[in-house]
Amino acid sequence: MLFIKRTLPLIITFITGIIMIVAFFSGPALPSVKALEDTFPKWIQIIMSFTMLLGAFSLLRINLNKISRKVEGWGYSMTLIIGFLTMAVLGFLSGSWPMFEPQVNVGDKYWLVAEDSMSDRHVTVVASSLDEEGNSVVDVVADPVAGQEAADAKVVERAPAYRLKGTFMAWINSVQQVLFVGVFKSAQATMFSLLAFFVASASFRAFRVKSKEAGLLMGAAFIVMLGNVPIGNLVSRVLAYIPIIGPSLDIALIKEWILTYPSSAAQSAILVGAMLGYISASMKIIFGVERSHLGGEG
Amino acid sequence: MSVVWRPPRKLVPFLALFLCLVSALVLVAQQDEVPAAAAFQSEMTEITADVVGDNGELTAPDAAPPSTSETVAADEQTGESLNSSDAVDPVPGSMAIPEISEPQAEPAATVVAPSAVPVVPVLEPMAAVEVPATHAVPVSEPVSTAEVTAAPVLEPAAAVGAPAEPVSAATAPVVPAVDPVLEPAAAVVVAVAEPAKEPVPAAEDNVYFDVKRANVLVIILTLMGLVSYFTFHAQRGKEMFIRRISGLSALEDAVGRATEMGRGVLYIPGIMDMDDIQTIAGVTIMGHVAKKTAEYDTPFFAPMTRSFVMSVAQEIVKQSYLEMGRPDAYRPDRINYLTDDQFGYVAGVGGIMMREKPAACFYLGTFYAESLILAETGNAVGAIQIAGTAEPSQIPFFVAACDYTLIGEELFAASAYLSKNPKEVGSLKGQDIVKLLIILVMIVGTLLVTIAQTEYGAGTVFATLAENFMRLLK
Repeated sequence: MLFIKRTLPLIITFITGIIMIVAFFSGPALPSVKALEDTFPKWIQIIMSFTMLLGAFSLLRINLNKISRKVEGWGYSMTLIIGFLTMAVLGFLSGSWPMFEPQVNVGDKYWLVAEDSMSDRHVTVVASSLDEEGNSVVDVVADPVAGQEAADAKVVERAPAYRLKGTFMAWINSVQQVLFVGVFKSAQATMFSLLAFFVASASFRAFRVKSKEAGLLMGAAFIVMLGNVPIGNLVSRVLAYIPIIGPSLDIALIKEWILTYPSSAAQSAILVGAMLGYISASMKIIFGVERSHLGGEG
Repeated sequence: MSVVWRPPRKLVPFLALFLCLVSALVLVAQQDEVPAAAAFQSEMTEITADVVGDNGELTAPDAAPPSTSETVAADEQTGESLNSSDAVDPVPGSMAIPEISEPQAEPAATVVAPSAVPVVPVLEPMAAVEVPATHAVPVSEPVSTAEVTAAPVLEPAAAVGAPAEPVSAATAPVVPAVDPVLEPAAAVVVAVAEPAKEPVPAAEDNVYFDVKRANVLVIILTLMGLVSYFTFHAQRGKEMFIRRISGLSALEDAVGRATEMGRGVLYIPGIMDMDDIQTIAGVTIMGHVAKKTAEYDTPFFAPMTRSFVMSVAQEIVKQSYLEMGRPDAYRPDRINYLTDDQFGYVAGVGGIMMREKPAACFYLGTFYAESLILAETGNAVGAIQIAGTAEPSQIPFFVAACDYTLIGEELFAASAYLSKNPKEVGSLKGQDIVKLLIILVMIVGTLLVTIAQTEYGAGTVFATLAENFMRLLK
């Protein structure tokens, strides 16, 4: 058992690491070795996709357990389970499954599912063909909408055949879009928007001048912020009236200087250290010096 | 009875030395090709700068480079191309110039490309003689000398020379006197317009080692050598100093504080998967924190954004609790997967923070936009916060919102700092020495480049050294 849990991973790590190093340094005369640089990341993606099952199983197990034990806050777990199952079912159904795809016939009426919105339209197929890549495409005309005046000339629109859905599948697709775009994306945007408020509160704390370093931070941040807003130009013009040093007090130029030299120099220093840490940590893992990630002492 | 396989530690220095030797040999072996390639490049420049003749096509240069004059003469007779790969490969027909070997779509433009100056003037004469720019002179119809001389393009060609004077002047000393015969012009026109009928393998195709990455290899081998050296000495009992890292020293205090307050500890090893080295560093430190929580019997929460990391983290924490003799206190449901979605994960962690109100929060790994949201939420619940990342863009947020921040390499040094394992401490020391070397190289390089750009340094050995230095960096 210890061999499976500790030794085998070490052997695999060592061999894979060496192969990747050789692939990285190999030249054009070794195309098959060089190709591993691109192949291995694809393998990683394949392996990682399997871990989705692991995550889904863990999520369901923990939350079902909470519901069954009626622990505090089990209602959240219930919401999670319902949301998980709903989105999974709708996502599977609204995908391009051959068994759910209608047999497209010229003259029949379908729903043309919009790609980027929920505005599906009822259309009639007037022609069916294949495009340059061999995919099935259809020419459709929109059916008149009740309550709206029908246009004199019907516009023929070309669309991929997979966007044509029957009534049931169009409904499924719409619900999935409502939940995904209307709920999930909106919630995502809401969380991201919180960042603006957190930046303000964090800045307020960080810019309290309690030491020399905090003073420097405050001064640099003030100049950079001022240089990024239109009023910075106005301030520069006012400062220009100061004799001798006034003309050189251009806020925008000072901001650029701070960002180009001190800031990027500090970032480069951090990056150099981090890259050495990357190399060193990678070497330790490849050669088995560092094995804490396998559990137990390194 | 189980046998734990360990790498041959004593052989590591020898392995590093061996790799150094091999790489040095490879580099020496490559040396033959590098100067040749440089010579080839300079010849290309000469041809494109001076050799524009009638029809807008390239004609023979006013002077052939001395190194290839004989080959040129031979080529003139045989109609073979005049190109500098002759210098690389003396065998006729095996020359390979990527620019010239391109298909006939835009031969003239492609050849002219290396010399930026004459590009525009060249194109106009081509239009004057009504030869499309993309037209290549057929191989079967070599341009005769009469055609070349009679063609009314000489003036434009001369005009080309005018703007290109700086380039010509620069290359003039290299170009010896010319053979007055004009036939080379036709010969060269034909040759240049003639792409290789069959793809000739370039010289680089036979290279087994990517010379462009030699500088990376040098850094890696130096690092390996130094790490091996210091690890060897550390294992023999030599004391090695590690400077105090406040964030790591505060780790135990943070867990102790949580214990005293009767609240939990929250640990987040970044939002990336196990293929990210920062995540590995994060889960490594997690093991040390888990040992403290096991020792103090403090609740340990670790919500994960990647299921693979969750699996690894569960194993590490379980092992830590086992080592501390508290397997009963291990709660796998507290090391759980939330979601792969970045902001969904932030919402989930925020919820855990607000419900459980941890007294200590650790953010060690790769973070992006969620860093500040997490840190500010942790601050809102009054937790002591220790963060660490190698993402330069997120460090300011952590510095602003957290009590302690591990900056860049400190994240990778944490394991050695906490474990005091001689092997890891030795590697840390080696890493520091390499950093010192890099700083020295940077200072020397900066001085060289600065001196080379002054009037006192131009044309001196400093300029050459600076040029070589910049080439090495690339």
